[in-house]
Amino acid sequence: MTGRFDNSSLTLVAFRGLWDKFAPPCSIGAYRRSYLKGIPLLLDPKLSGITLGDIVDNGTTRPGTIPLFVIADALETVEKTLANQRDLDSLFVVIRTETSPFSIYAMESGKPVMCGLYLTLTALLAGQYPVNELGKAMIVLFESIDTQLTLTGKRSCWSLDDTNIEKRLISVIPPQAILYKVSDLVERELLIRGSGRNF
Amino acid sequence: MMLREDSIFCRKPFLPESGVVESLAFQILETVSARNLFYMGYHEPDEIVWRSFRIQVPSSHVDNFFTLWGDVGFETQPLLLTVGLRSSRFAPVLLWEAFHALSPGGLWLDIDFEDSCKGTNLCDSDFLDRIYYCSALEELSVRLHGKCRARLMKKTAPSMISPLEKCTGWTFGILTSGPSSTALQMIKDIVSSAPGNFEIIICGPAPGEIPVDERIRWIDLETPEPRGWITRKKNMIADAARYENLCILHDRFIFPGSFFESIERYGPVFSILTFPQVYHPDYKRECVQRYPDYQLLSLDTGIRDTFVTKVYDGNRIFHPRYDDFSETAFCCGGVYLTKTAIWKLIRQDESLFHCEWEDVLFGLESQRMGIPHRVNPYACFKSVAPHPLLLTSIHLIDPSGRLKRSFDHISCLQKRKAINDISDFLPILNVSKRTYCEKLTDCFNSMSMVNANQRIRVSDFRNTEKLSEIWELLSGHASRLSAKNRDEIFQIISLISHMVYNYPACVLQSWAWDEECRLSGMNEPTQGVIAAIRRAYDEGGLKLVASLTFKRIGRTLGSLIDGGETAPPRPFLDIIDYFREVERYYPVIFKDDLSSDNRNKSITTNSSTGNIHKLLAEDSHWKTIFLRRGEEVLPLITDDGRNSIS
Repeated sequence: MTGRFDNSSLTLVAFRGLWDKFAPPCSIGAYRRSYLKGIPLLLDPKLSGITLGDIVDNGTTRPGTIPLFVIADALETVEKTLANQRDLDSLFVVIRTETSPFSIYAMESGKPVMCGLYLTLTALLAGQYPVNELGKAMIVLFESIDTQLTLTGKRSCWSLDDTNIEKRLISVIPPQAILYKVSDLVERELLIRGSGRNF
Repeated sequence: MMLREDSIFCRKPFLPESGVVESLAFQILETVSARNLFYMGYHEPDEIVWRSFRIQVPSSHVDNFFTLWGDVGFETQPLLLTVGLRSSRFAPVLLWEAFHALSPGGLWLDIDFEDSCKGTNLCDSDFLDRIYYCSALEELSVRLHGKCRARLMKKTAPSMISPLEKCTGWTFGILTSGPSSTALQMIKDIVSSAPGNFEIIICGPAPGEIPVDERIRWIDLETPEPRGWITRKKNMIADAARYENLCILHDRFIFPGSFFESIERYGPVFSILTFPQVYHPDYKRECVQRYPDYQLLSLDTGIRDTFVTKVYDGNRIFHPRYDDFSETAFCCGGVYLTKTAIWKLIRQDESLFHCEWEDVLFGLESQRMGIPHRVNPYACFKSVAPHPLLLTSIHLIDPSGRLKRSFDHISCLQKRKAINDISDFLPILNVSKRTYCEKLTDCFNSMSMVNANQRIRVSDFRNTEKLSEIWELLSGHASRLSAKNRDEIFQIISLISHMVYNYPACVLQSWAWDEECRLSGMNEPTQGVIAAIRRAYDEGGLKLVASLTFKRIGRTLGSLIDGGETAPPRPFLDIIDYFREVERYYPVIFKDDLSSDNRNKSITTNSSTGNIHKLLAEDSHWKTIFLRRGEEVLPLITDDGRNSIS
């Protein structure tokens, strides 16, 4: 018994894994680190070139403990991968569509059930807040402005502010819903929170 | 035991309504059959208690070194009365000592203000309800009277730790990371001085030829981990330990000859301890610096959140006096002395690595379980290497709530010697300048955005001597790189991490983010280069802007523009500034900065006991130790170096 807390109250999701100077973004090492430190993570196989199978086969996951959000173009692809994996209780599938927001599915008894929404930074920049759908969502993920990675010109994301987005979303989602911030700089976020400055 | 405490520790007054404590004590104790009462409080017990019990009330000074072992031994007392102990910052220490004085089956009446029994910033539970105590203490009754609470408890089981005969063996664990003559010497010194049963467990790559001795074992991680998995290694040592007394060490210390004597003097009923640690920057060992040995996290709010974030702001970590205590004080990870059972109860968090404040979390978790982190002041460990933070750490003093750089840990003697006796200084880096520049060049050239024209060569550094000059040159090269995204900025920032100090990812990410903000026009500053450019443009147009010379980079803006450069990243400028300061007090940087005479110079083996004693014992020398001033948790230090209370 160590009396440690779990990390569920952090409500941060690692955008490209918990990368550092030893483990580049979107590497197996970054995903493994995310699991080790108990930080929920997003896996975009298109972005990373790493599949859910790579993570599961690699023994990186700690099933049932840390939410893993996998981005897919169709549910079927994830279902196939999951066919032989029974332990991934905290697996969520984010279905990428042409139009935002993306839908989030939870796997229940091997079947996908829609449970929430994923708001991309692009959607937020376009002012898309689907109030009706958000009012029914149990899980909502939104992309922090720090998920904009390029440095070309003045960043469009500067017109937004994570705190304001968070406040706005909290005002429309159900009280029992969980709001996650998808961040590429999770450890910077933790430093801010751990220093008692902004928690 | 009548307790006394120095006023510098700002004990809160414990002034209950007249007669309340006596009334509670009498009502409850009259039902108890034991007649020998051990009393601990800051006020003399009332006559009514005197009359009814055989009670001795010797006077005792309370600070972080307070122990009861010498006075009463271990688990000898059948009946304890503690009064108002929570009025002191040393409450966790006093309660620890009281608990181990109480015999199994004994009774403990604890009287205190009810409000002070409701937990602390660190934990909702009162000290005696925390994990270490709760399985051995049974609450028999609670009575309230006025603001006071009287709680009668029975000790239902022996303490988890025991100093008895069968528990006298020692396990020493030494963490290694490669060849280390220091580690081999530590092994020799332990073997030659350890009395009775002991073992040494080396954890990590073999430091050299390990002596063949059945008392010496060697273990290691299953696979190497570049981040330095010291938490795992320390847990492995505790898991493998055969003996109850556990001392875990990093391989950078001279094992003190007085180690076992210091244990004898301190007593065997210890929680988690460390020792004062010092570093001598000079061959003659005249200069003494306090090494990061015992620190505290000073956080006004959100301390419990840090159990979840596991990330700490280095600016909030300070060095208290050794005799001081706080619930957020922690032994730094270089030297731990504890009991194997205690270590196994807490364990270090293996999700943390070297330089990730694993010792802060370990300290907070220990104290949350009721196990105080303290100092054994009777021996002193000397580090053979400067702390890695020496080249980075901005020591802070905060007399007015403002954080600032300080070199208060540098003694006047060192400052004088740095001017007059350079040849007596040890190099602060254990490499030659060429080796250093080769590594720097390799790191720089391996970055993905460095093209053939931007590559640097070791010979580029031939006209530089000091570290600050090397980094000035490097930052000029870095400013010519054109980072297109976060990953490229992170690579540039990480140069500092590769070369100077293994900064945790949270710090590197914060620097990278600040740099992104700077480069993409977010948070335009009111000070610094950008602001200066803006002001110059407003005042004199482009011509004036181009003529600006920026001291820290030694170029005009015009030259930067012509060369397609931007200003160097802020952390580079900070580190250059910092190096300039460091070079004032540590005049020898590289191994080959020394003359051949000096290179053959050996470190004086004469004891510098005099200076160490001054550092450890004399008030006037506390000023050589970096302290945060003006805060309740720490004593105030006046300009003449004397302790005082405002």
